[in-house]
Amino acid sequence: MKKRFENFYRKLLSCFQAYRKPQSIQVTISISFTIVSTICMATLGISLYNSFVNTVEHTMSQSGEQILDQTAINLETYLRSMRRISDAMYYSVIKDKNLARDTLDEEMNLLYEANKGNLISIACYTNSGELVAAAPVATEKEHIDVVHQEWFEEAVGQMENIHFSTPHVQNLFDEVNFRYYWVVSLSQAVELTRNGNSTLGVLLVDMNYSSIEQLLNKANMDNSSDYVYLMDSDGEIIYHPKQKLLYMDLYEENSLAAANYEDGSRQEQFRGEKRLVTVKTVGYTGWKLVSVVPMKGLGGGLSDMRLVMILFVSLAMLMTIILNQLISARIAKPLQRLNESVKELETGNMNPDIYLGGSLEVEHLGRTLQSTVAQLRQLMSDIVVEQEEKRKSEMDALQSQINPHFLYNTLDSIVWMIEGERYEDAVFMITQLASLFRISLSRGKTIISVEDEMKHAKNYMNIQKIRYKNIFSIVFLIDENVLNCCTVKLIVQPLLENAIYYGVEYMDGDGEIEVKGYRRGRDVYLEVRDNGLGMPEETVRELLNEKNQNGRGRKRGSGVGLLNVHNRIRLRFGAPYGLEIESQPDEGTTVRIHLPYISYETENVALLEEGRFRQIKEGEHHVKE
Amino acid sequence: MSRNKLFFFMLVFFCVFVIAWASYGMIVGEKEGEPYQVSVIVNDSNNDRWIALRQGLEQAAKDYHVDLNYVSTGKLESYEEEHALLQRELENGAEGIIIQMVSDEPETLDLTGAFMQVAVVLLESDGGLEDSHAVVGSDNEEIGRAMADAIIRDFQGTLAGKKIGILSGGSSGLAMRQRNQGLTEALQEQDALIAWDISHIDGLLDEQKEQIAWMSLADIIIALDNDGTERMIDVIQAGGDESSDCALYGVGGSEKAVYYLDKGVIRTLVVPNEFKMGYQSMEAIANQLQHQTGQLEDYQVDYLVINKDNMYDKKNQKLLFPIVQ
Repeated sequence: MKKRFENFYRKLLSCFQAYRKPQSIQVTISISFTIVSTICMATLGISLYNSFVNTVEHTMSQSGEQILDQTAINLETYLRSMRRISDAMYYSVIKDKNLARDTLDEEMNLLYEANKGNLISIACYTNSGELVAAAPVATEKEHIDVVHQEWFEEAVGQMENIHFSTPHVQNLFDEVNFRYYWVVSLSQAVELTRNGNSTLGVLLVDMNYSSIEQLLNKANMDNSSDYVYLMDSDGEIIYHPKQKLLYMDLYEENSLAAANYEDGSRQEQFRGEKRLVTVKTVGYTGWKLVSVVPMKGLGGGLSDMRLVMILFVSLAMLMTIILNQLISARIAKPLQRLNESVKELETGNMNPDIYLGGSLEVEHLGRTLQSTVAQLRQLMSDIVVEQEEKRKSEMDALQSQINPHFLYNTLDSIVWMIEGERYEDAVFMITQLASLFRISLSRGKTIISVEDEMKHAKNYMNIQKIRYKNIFSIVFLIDENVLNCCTVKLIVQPLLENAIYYGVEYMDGDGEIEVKGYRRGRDVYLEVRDNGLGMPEETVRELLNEKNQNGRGRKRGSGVGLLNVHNRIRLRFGAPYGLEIESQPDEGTTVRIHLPYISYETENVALLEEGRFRQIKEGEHHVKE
Repeated sequence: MSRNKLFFFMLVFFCVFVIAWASYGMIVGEKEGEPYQVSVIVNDSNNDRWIALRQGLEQAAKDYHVDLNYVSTGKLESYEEEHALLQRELENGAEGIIIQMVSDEPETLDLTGAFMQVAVVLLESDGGLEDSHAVVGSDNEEIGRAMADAIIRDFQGTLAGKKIGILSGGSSGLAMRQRNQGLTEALQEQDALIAWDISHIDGLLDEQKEQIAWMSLADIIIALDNDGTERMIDVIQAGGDESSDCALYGVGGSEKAVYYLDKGVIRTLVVPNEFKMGYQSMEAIANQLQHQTGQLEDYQVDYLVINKDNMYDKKNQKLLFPIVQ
């Protein structure tokens, strides 16, 4: 048992815990309101119903008592009149008569005639059961044993009282038309005088049972299930609306228990039925009138009330549930919409449509969020600008590294040419240098076309070839379709410089440098390949490592180096663009520049100059979609 | 649909259902249905012997809100007459029939077909229609045996040398046969001489002399139904002193029979509780109509063995002398 209880408790707890999981505001509000309002309404309904039941019970009890009082008065009046007949017969007639010479017939008949509506007969017997007189005049049954009839025995047994019997069939006179009468016998002992000698006799007034029945039927006229019955002090039924059924054992009555009830109302349980029973004792006879109101019968009216209550509570519940939904939606919807705005913000949209509405508090929250987002956006924009500034300054710094080294070397070569009176070469050199610087400057632009970049490379190589006395050959294999592509300026020249210094300068054979440009899908590749000394794989891996700033580019040449180029490309276009290096010792080195394909148009150039490569990319993406 | 929405709709649906149920209950509760029509067909319906039965029927009809049609019949001579009455009642819309079978001959009343559509209760005996309908009545063989016991008791346990005449005529042939069987079996154990046993008394009054002759041949006459008992009362009354030695025993509960029991003409009267028979048959049929219960079950009613000495006992007088309520 204990285990079962524990299991039940655990289940209940887990049920509650499941509901303790965070729910939406609307659900929480709606469920809480619904539970609270349901409990309130159910309590109200039950209270009202109970109050109604109590009132009805009280009213019914009062009504039952009133009916009983009225019936008791009628019954007492009737019984009193019967007693008066008996008394009149005794005190006014029998006592005055000398039965030795007088008869009672005349007076008895008069009394009978005056009351025959309520009477069956009046008779007077001697104590030996001999008939003295009877009205109406009738033939006494042969061999009738009056002395042992109940009414006679009671009268003789308690001579001072008037006795009322329970209903029985009169067994005194012979009715030729087969008639038998149900009577209630009123009997009393009387003194019969014969020539001055008194003997005991019994006066019998047989009341017509129908009169009592009619009297009580009035209290049972309506068709309701409540009824009134009459019993003697021992609980024997005198009248009952279902008397015949009681006699046939087809119906039961709780009369034996009711015989012990005090006057007044009380509830009892009988045959599984709850009943309101009111008892009233009828004067003198000790008979008891009992009013029975079955609670189920009471419930006949109550069931309607119950239905009305259920209807009322259900309607109120329905309205409350709907109202709860509307109110909770009204409270929760603005919060939900605000939450959706926040979710949109979380996805990275820095310009979400922030909901402004709902209650004052929610609206205030929305406005606060809106201003916070605006501030955030401003801050991010500031950071972007700041970063761009930083990037620009870095670019400028990196680009500015080229000029002094190279200029120094070239001018040194020109000086050397002039000194050697090689004026034509010097002129060519200066022309190439001028072209190189023109492209280098590019009116301050960072982004130039691949065509210009190649021209710049060629200028550079022309200068270098003269400087190095053609110890290497250079081939440019540039596809037409990449010439009109955007590139960061001065990215090929450092590679060529490296190819010369580390590839072909110190090799034994003819140095070959090949510059290739081609397009693969949305990418552009510019390759600088030499057949020089090459590098081991470890050296290749370290070339683009920021931590190895003392790489080969720092020792000689323009001093810019591969990392410089790689960083510039990454700064402009981001990963995965930049440099890729392949090298085999004694085989040569290929440095590949990976760029996005962006056609060299004013708009693109302007965007790239502002560092908005992402915007170009998104634009392309949208166009593609 | 989310779980919460489902919960909300279920709640709303529940409330709407309760509202509909309560409204229906209020509308239906206010209207009390039309009472069922139940017709009662018994032989010679105005005969006094049916007073108690009729009271029982009326009381049950009142208690169970049934419209009782106690069909007025004369003496039904054949099953065709009864069939015609039945047919008429069904055409008039009777939903239940309580019927006393007039005949149990092979050409007995056909209670199949259309009659199966209505609730039927047979009174006293099944008329040979075994198991087809519920029967409400006394155990007829038991009545016969009870009668025999009363006679044996009256004659101090021996019937040797007594001549017995049995009248088991009238209607309800099967019931009579059953009573007769119970009676004769019990009497034969006592070596009683059954001088005559007549199943039909029709036209008997026209041959009163012959009857007196029968009586002179019989010390004990036993009438096994109310009609027979009343007829024998008349015969004995008409017979005067010649018939005074003849002991009459009867079955029945009419006022006349009871009166002559009181007068001492009848020694013992076995009274089937016909009030109960009427009440129970109507109750059974009302229950079946109102609650659509299945096959009705047979119900046996009790009977009383009454003589002059005990007829005014509290219990017996309640049965013998009906209080008309």
